[in-house]
Amino acid sequence: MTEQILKTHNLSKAFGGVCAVKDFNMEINAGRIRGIIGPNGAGKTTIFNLLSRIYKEDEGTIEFAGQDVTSKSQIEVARMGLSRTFQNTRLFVGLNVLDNVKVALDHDGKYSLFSALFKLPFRNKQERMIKEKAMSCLELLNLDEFAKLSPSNLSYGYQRRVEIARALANDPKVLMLDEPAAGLNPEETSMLMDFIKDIQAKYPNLAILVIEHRMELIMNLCDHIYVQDSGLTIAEGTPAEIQSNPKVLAAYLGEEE
Amino acid sequence: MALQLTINGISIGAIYALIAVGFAVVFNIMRFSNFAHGGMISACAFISFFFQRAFDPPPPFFVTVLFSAVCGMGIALLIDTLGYRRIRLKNSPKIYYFLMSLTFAILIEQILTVFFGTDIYGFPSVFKSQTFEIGSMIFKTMNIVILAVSVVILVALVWMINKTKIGLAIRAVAINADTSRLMGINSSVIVTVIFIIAGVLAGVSGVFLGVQYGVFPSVGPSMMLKGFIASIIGGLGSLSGAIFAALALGLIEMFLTFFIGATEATVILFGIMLAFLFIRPQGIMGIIVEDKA
Repeated sequence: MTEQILKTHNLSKAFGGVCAVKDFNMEINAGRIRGIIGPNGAGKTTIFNLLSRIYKEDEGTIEFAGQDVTSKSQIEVARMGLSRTFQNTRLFVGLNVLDNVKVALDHDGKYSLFSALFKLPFRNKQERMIKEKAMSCLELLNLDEFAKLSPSNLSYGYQRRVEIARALANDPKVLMLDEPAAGLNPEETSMLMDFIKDIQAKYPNLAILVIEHRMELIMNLCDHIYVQDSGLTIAEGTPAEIQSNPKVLAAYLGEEE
Repeated sequence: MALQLTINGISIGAIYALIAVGFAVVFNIMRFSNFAHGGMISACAFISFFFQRAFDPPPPFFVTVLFSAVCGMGIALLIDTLGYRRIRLKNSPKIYYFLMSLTFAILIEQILTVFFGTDIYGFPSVFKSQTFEIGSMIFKTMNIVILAVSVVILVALVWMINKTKIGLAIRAVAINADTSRLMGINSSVIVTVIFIIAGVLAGVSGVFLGVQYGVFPSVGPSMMLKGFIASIIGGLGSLSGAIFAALALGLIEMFLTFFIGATEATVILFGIMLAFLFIRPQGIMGIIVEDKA
């Protein structure tokens, strides 16, 4: 039995007079992959920013894990298990790859500053657990050999994978990938698809939401797609339905090719 | 002679290091130079002075240091609550932090002046024997104690920042507070932790400065300048750079004072800072700081 993990109702956001997202309705069940596509400026990243509470919505509701999260902070929804990656990678330059992943586990350990200084055996156990967890995420994305490197020494494709590993570290309920294939070559893109499938196999209850431009990726992975254009949802449905939808072809696919 | 000067220099340098690191941790997270640090040091120097005198027989020195550290922590949190928190919540420009920190620095110094005047209060002697000898060399007990305590505190702090989970969170917030929040790190807790650290450092350096130079309202601000020079030379925000530069400054100052006099030594120290700003504005450990920009 799958449950509805994330749901929005009439979500709207305007910047000045420009309507970035208007009446966006979506839902995603645990274990499923859904995609959001649309031309540049369609409001896709705005939706992610609303969901992760970077922006406050003008109207509408967001329901996550059975709770209304519209009044919650970025920190709270992140801790509830809403993880994301970024269109332009946002790794911590100056921390190595392993530490970048451990950052996401910050709230997971149970000791405070006080016990960090005084209860050493307990602290060591926690520290080891966190490290093991971070390493297992790196292994899943085939990054374990780069653990001690600085992310700035890695190629763009690898940096994106580090971001995905970081997003997975705190056992999220929803993983949001913002253009994970942007800047990747075709080979890297097909590798990325395999990784996402691996992730789905390893975390059967994880819901994944993908923003993407690459049609082969989105058509291959997602079982349901929302098509955005100028803030509005112009179509939704299965990949096959979307591919044959004349509105979509006109607004998006037609322009692209 | 040279060895004694070296030890005295490192001992002074260790106090500068405590101040410089207090500066650097706040700069790292908040991106402004916290000039209120000098006021906090003066206040703690007075607090520890009266604490030490309030009991007969006087409490053990480490109790005074501990008490001063706790008071420093309290003052730091108070300044944060009264001054910086509102600026933070409103997301105001950095210049407001700077102005607020100057305001607190002057305010604390003036309050102390109103109550105690500008006289220098001599710290009551702490140890039974002021000096001890190894072979033909005479060491001041206090210099060695200051050096030892400072080293312990600085090592503990560097270890905490580099090896613990909260240290990792501090480093992450220093690099990018916005992204850290999206990772579930509560950056306002980190800011509180930073002011606790800065307050403890101010409290400890306040006692040491009081013991070494006497207690007066401008002891903090004047000595803070040395810590400030050290954190500039070390590269603003870099802890190891600040510690290294502070020890070097202490040594240079001690030798210069011995050979050419205290006033001239201070002029030369500022000359060194100016030279650094010309030649290497990013400081000794410039790479780290560049990354953060």
